[in-house]
Amino acid sequence: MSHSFQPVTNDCWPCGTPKSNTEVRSAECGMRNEGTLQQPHQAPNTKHQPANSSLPPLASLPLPQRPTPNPQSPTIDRRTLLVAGGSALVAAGGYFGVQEVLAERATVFIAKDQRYGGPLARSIQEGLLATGFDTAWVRGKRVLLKPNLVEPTKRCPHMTTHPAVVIAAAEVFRRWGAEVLVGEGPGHVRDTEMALEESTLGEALRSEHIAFADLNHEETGWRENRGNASKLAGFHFPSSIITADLVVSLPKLKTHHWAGMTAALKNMYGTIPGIRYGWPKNVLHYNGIPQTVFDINASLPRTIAIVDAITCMEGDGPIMGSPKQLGLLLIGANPTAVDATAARIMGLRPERISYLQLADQRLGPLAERHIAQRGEPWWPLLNPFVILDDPHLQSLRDKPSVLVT
Amino acid sequence: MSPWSALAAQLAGQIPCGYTAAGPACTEPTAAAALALCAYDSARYRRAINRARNWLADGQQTNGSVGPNYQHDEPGWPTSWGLLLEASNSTKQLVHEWLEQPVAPASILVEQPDPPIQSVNPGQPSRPTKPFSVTAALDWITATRGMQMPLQPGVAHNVELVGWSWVTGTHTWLEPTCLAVLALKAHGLGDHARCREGVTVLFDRILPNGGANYGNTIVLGQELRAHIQPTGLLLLALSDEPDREGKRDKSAAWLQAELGTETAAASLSFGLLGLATLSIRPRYALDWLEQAAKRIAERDQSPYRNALLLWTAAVMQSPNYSIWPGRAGGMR
Repeated sequence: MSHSFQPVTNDCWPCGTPKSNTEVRSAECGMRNEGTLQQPHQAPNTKHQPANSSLPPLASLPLPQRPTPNPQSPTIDRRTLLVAGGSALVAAGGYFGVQEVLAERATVFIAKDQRYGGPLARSIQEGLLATGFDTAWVRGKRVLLKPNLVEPTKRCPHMTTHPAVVIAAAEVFRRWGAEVLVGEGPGHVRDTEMALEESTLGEALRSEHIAFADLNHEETGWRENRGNASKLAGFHFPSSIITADLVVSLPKLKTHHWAGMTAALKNMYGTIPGIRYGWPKNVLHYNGIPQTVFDINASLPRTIAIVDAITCMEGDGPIMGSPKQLGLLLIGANPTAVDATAARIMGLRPERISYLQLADQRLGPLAERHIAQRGEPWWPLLNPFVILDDPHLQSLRDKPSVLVT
Repeated sequence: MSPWSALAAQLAGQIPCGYTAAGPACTEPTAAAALALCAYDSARYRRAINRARNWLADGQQTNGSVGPNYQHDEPGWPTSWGLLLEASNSTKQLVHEWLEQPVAPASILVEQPDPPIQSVNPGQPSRPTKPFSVTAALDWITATRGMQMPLQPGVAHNVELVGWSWVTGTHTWLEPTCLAVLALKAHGLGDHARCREGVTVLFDRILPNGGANYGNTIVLGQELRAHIQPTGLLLLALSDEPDREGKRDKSAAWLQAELGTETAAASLSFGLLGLATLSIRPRYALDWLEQAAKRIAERDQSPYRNALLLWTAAVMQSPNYSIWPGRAGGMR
């Protein structure tokens, strides 16, 4: 988005205590419990430490590299570990060993050679099954698909989620007996009808008789901020979001000239109603982009991610960038893990992207060793995106590559 | 019965109305519907118009602002819509319901009755406890300011100019500034310092190649894209201003090239209204409006979009109609 301010990347933010969101989701969202929630990594008296204070210096971080074989998801649960094996682990490996074992695991599926005219529903179904989606759970449930329609124009179709991906996802969830609707609150345009027509999503939804919810103008309900990274006490979420059993983030994979990248987590800005937060949703910006991206995702109902990375956007994203062909779909129960994998494919370091730093081990894992890869491995698909020649963006990768001025 | 008269009757029965047919009543759609009826046939639909005014009055806060709906008192950006309705409603045939009880003026007796009310907020009071206070609303508008920001590298617009924000405590953006400028001009405050500052903001936010979007121009060296709806609103707000650098006319030219039969209802309406203030009336404007109304009828039947279409159609058919009676020059 084209925000007229600098992103808040180094402000103090309250660390807060994790609210066990991940545990709740694991129990309710239809995904098999893949791991555990890590303990708070900062003591309460460090509540106002700078966001990066606990991170190693950038130069000491490793380059993106070929993943080592992923450990299998733990077969014993966290409680068992704590009760039965905790003391032994502490004795053997100390605190960091315990932390490592308790770290949350997630599974991310990648499908390559995808085309908008191809069998996307088959790929999405395969990906959901490979990442543990419980098809029986979703029967009769209300599933809201959330594409990215930030500022659609037919002149720039690579800015927004392609309708074929939305329709394919709807087909899969309908096949499993879910009630599907599509919802979006475009961030830059008030005329939602225009957004639907310019993106061509409107016609696609009508032809498939899929309902659309204008999240910018709906009735809203208040929900507590369960992330507490920003000062916002809570969020007014649209009723379609509140009543959804599952929210599926369906973003377009793009660079973002303030945040670095935008995919599953940043896409959730569109669940916030413009009628209360403005166009753009400036209240969120004033409270910090990384912080509010984290907070919104921590406060939403259960979420999963299906990323349209077929034709992406690089350079001056998320609005003015150039098309970038990847031909990928990324699918996962944990949007943080999906975004981390997407960042690696883009040639970016997920641990350097501020909102992913916040999400790490609170909403999901960033580390490769904690993400089980299904479908295609990410490393052969690495295809660095052009990023702007700006220090805050260039620092997201180790070596500047292709520069755009 | 013409399609437009049928739409007017439908809207009259829906007031107070929302963005969607089944959605909650909201300030902007309710005011837009009443403005449309004012433009279409203010005498015939006086009661519906007054119902809208009463509804807005009932939602007005003690500080003069009006929130987006009954659910929320904030943010106050819809206050401008209340002021626009009051300005358009200032003709003598319109009487506040709370004043009409003892003796109905003769003009009321010849009215056709409104269709039955299809209230979307049955629990809300049907009569206001107070009239809408134009003075309080104007006080709120003139006292409200978008946030100044330090100069930002890579951002071309002047971030130190102050217009109006969507939400208190945030930056100045284009549409709330357009609405506030229009509201002030409609009430004869075009020379007010805040209005002049707002006008400066709007000229500053016009894109180099004409048109406007939500309020950014050039970011990190790239000129952003223009959008139809904000450009139309921009022309409405600036139509009586000197166009020394030709920015407004360039925006009008961009808008003329963009509008067409496929343009969505709200964008089409604001675009045509904006052009009409510059005496530009595209030849097929009424056809486009009818096509847009047909699409809305087939799809979501949004009262808000229908209101904008009816309002615009009425203006297109009445070249001398003045949208803002209090404004010098009015609609040309």
